[in-house]
Amino acid sequence: MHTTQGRVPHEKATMSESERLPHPVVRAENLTIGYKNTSVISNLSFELPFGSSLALCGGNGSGKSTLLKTMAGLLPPISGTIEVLNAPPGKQPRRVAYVGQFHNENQAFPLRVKDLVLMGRYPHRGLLRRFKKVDKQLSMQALEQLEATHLANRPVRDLSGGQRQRVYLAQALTRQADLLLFDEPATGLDPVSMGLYRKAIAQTRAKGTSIVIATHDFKEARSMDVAMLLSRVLIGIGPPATVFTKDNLTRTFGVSITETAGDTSPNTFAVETHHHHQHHDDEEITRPSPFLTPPFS
Amino acid sequence: MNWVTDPFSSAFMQRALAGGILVSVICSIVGTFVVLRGLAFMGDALAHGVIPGIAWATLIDAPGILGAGIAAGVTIFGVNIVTRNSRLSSDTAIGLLFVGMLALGVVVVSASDNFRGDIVNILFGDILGLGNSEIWTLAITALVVAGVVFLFHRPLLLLSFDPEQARTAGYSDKVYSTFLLFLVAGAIIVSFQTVGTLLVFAMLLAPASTGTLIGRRISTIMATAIVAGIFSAFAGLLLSFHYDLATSASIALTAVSLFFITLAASSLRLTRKHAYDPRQGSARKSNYV
Repeated sequence: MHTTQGRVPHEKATMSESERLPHPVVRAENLTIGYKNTSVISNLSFELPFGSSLALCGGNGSGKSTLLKTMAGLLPPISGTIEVLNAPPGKQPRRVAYVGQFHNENQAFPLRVKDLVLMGRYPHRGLLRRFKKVDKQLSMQALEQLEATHLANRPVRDLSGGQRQRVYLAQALTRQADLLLFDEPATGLDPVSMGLYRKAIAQTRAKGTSIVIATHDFKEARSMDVAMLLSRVLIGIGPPATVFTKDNLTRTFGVSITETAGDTSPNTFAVETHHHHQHHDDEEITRPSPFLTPPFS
Repeated sequence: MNWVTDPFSSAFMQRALAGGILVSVICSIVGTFVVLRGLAFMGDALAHGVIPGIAWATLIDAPGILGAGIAAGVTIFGVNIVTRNSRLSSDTAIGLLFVGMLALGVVVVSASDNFRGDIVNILFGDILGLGNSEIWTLAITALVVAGVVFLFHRPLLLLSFDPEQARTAGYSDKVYSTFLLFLVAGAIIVSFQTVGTLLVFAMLLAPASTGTLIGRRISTIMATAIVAGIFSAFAGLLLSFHYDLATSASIALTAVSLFFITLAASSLRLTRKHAYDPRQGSARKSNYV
């Protein structure tokens, strides 16, 4: 080793995360996922490089949440293999943080916001070890990032839906994980919180953290490194520009949608026709999704 | 003459007080999770589910705790089997086991001729007849329960709050749910001789509910529950001594009354707070940011 020189070799210092950790952050091979006897997506194979961000897009019931839950280790795969950070899902709680779409938490539970955020550090401290200064700093920092510091001493049960969502996102950030799994994280956020959320995601990505986000916001999806279109089958995966083609979107949503040029609002797609080009057993998919705007004249 | 201390001059009343306090401590600790996790019905089913086991143990001269343990295991196992192998919800499964075990208990008792009033002792306990060995059993159980809950407080907390969060933090919700059920069963099994299978349920629910009204954190809830439980045991014994009332029922009734008094007081305080506290209004307006 070069330690005798008193400094770390230059090449080593500038090595990127992906070079030091050559394993993909998520690797799926012939993966079939779903619930008990109902498979939602079959034979899914993909690799997500370490440090990259992935947007999962698709209609309601397309399998986005199922895939996220499988990655989080909440749902065992039906068949095939999936590795998260080079291990079976759910085996490295310190390195993965998950925020689900629905919080089925006990509403009556007495818990202060700061204690809930600190729960994000449980995996690091095990059963009995006391919280360190860094744990409290990290949770206050995360609350600051989402401008929720003033909520710190409030009981969680008194919060509104949007406030609660910000607190859960803060809890996930507190974990300092290598992989964040967010299921429609912007749900219920007001415009101000939305801005804070976007900033927090950008900062986390800049640190080299891998992120998988299920989202209906195509503007957000296009800002990611990789996009995946799902419709109970894999429609496409790759750089967003190559995935969000007219053809792929039609196959995903059953209606033809095009991007409206020059529009910078979150609703950047317009419905072109309402023909159902593909058969779907899920009725939900064939209806225009909420993010689709009426045709522009 | 001292109204408060004189009743405890006799040994049997001292043992009753020790037993009552220990039962209160055990039941308040476990009961906090019963209340927070919403296991009240399961607790009720377990309290009744142990009856056939105790009756059977009495018939063959085995220790009641052994029979109660076996019957509690059967109840938990049965609820699991029904929920896993049918589309029935867990409260239906619990109800089925509840009535099934209760009926079995009565059948066992009625099948024997020499059951000399023991059924009343099973249902309502015999706190005035506690022996030293029973006190020791309670004391050791209280220590074990407190230690185990301290050791596993993080997973139990996460599990009670949101089982999904427990799993993503690396704690199996299946393992800890079962663990919690066995804690509840344990509390019932060691306490039934003191306050009876019917009234042990009051000690599981009432003090912890009182604590939930007052505390904003688990630790304060549990501490308040223990204080409320001990007070109930003490006051219940005094009332029963001075007015010649059924002992364990007096303790249970005190515990439940304490809950309703706290509820009335806290809702009064809440009404006043909402009427006069200007911060409530401003806090609500700032929800947007």
